[in-house]
Amino acid sequence: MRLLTHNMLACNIKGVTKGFPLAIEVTKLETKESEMNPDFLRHIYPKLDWKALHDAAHTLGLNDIPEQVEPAMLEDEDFLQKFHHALLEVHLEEGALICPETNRRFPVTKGVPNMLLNEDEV
Amino acid sequence: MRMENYSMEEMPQITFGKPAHGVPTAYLYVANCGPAVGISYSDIKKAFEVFGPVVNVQPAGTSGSRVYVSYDSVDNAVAARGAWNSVACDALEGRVMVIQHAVPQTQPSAGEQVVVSMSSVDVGIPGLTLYTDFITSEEEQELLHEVDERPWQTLAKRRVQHYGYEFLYKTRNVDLTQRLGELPSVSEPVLKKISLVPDIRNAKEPTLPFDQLTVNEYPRGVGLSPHIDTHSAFEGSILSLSLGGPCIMEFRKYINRGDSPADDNEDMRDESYGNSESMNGQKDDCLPNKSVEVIRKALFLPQRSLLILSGEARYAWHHYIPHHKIDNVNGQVLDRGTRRVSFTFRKVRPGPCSCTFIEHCDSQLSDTRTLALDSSRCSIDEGTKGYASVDSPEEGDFSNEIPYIPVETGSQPKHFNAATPEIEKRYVHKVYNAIAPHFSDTRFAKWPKVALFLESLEPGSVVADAGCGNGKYLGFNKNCFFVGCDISPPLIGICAQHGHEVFVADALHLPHRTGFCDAGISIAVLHHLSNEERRIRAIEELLRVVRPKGRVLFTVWAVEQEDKKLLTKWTPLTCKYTEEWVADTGTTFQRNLSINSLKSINEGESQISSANPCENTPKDTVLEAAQLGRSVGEADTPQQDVGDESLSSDAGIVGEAEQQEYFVPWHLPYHRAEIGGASAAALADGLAKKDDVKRALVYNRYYHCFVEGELQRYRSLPSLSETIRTCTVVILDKSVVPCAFNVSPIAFDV
Repeated sequence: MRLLTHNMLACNIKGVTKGFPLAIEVTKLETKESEMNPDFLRHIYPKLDWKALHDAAHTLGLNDIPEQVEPAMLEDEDFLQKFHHALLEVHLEEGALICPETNRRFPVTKGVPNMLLNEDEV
Repeated sequence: MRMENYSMEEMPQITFGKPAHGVPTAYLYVANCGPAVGISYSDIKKAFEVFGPVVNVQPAGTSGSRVYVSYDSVDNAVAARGAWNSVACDALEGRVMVIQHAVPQTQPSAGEQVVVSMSSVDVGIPGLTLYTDFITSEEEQELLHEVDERPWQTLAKRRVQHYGYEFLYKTRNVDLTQRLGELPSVSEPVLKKISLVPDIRNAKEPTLPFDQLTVNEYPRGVGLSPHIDTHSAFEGSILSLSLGGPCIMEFRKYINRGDSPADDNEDMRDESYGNSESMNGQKDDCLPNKSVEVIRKALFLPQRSLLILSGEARYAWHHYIPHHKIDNVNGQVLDRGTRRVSFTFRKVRPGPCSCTFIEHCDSQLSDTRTLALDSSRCSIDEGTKGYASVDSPEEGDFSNEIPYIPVETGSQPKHFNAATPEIEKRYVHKVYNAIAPHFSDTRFAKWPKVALFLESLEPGSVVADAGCGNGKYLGFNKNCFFVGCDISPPLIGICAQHGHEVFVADALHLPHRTGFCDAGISIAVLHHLSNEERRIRAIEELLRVVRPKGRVLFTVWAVEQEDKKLLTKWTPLTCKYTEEWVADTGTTFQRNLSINSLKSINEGESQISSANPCENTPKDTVLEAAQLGRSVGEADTPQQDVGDESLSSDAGIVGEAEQQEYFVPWHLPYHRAEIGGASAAALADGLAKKDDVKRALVYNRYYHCFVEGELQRYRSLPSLSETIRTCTVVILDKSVVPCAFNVSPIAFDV
């Protein structure tokens, strides 16, 4: 699971109103290099909840993601590289996503979050 | 383990409310810690004693990975939380726990705060009367015996039978043109007795003769969501005869503060507050609108009692059965028993209602949303009080199935709380889990129209593929970011192996943030959902996660197939197959049939006995063998079932136009069968059958094939039309004429 996906996911248990962002429990990380696409990063930037990305990156030990981003930075190659790395290259392979409201734990196994709800949660 | 359990039992168990936020207490709610993650309660106790004496460690819920730790002082709990919340804890093998303060519930849970009256006089609601021992045990047995001989219709949590008129849960009303016939003769003696009851005979609003009967069977622990029976549906009194077991019925009235209170309510309100002081706090906490006051009353309905609701009790009070296995009746614990069967007698109303309880009257309120709002109020306190929320919209007792829908605010996902029907679990989820590797190896041909759609997306789009299967469309457009999900973990595992970004999720409960995605695709998914409500729900969910002006594509299988031979390979779901299912899955499965669109299958038919149910099936199998003779040998090739996404057009001339429910076979060659490892279990379970001629295991997959215009029809639904205005939704249910919900998809006009 990439942090882009983390930024997209929320706990959807019935009644939960603040199911985002999910806390991350890290057991194993993996880095898989990929080609950077600056246009994609610029396109995706407005969609992202930056604070969630920043906090998640820190949880994963990526401390070079700034707390705030100015649009001008999206033209800066060095920043884009860090952004790309945090958003798309670092994968949570083993661990869990935890709902901030209920503490429900969604396990991440072999890079795959299991977001299925129990019948009493829907 | 045994010792652990034993010591757990001896510990004083405290009931906790929801974790408090920011209020320090001596109690901690600790998540990600417990026997399920390999840490015993005694280890937890030992670890937490670093901060001071631990009075108790007890499980929080049933997950085994959450516990409550109780200290004897707030300070110790604060210290423990301060030290260990969300950081790796060395004392517990480096686990990262999420720790919050918990609040013990000092009072009995909300449902039990109300004093339970034993007689209707004590309840004091005008129009409510309870007759205990209304019938004898012999009469009770006779009635139960009679209904048990008759076919039940199954709702999500309970079974029902309708007589006179069918009560339609969707509209919460009856269809006056669809009379089913007389009430069953076995109810005649009871009806005669009822007609002699003074309240009935002398009722202000005539109620005789009763012409509608709904029999409800509540399994132990199943209750009923709060509701008022639709005013326009029934007139006069509503009666409920309790058989087989007792229950508590709660009555609730919601009053808008600031309104000039209705005169006859004034003393009751005071009395009610006298009864349960704590309601003040609860009300303010729980009700969304502080100007609403709730009056709650409860009445114990013993076995063989008759409850009469008329006037105010019928028109203005919500009635509700808590979802308890055990009722606490003023300190006395009463078991509900294995089941309670209620006979609800009503009289169908021929015209609009003209009662004086206008705020609850669907005939007199032009804006039905007011009613809905009213109902949502009554569900709010349920949710926050941690009641098991097992209600679902299609579950109704008396009638006005006020759905249990949390108040929705803008971007929150809308919740749909019906369990997945057995037919999908068994004939979709289980089958795909079992055939995943083989399915994946044969599903690579991409359907051109889906490819066109994906190619036309703007670069940089985030694309949600809900029900992505083996992920054959993921990454199709290199300029887009694809995120797939599927309910089948083995199929998702295959996607992940291919490097796709995926997670396991149900298309009916997507975990995506609302509006995050630029596009969504649902390819060959909707036809695996076994009722319309679920199909619509899946559409709603995908539309929810796609931003306004985003683009969404749905494809489904059509009944009208270009290759008519295909249909001969499919098994229409008719009565004879219910025998097979019944034999396979027992009553649980039968019970789900009625909520599917498999209307043609009723239990009456399914109960036709056959010496050997399997005798019926070979005919089709043989036919199928003839048709599939060539391809089975080469079952690894995609030609095996070209029906996959072959949404063919061909003017739709099909003999059985009405037949939409099918089993479509999947042949898993013997040499592939062990890959899944599930084959032996599937054979033992009856999920798969051996076909030695074709040397393959045959699995049946459930399909609801769409007729022309079926998806188009959904566009006018209120729940969809709003979203559809903001999204381009392309629906392809025919190959020649794609159906666009809004903006015409020129690109697809092939």
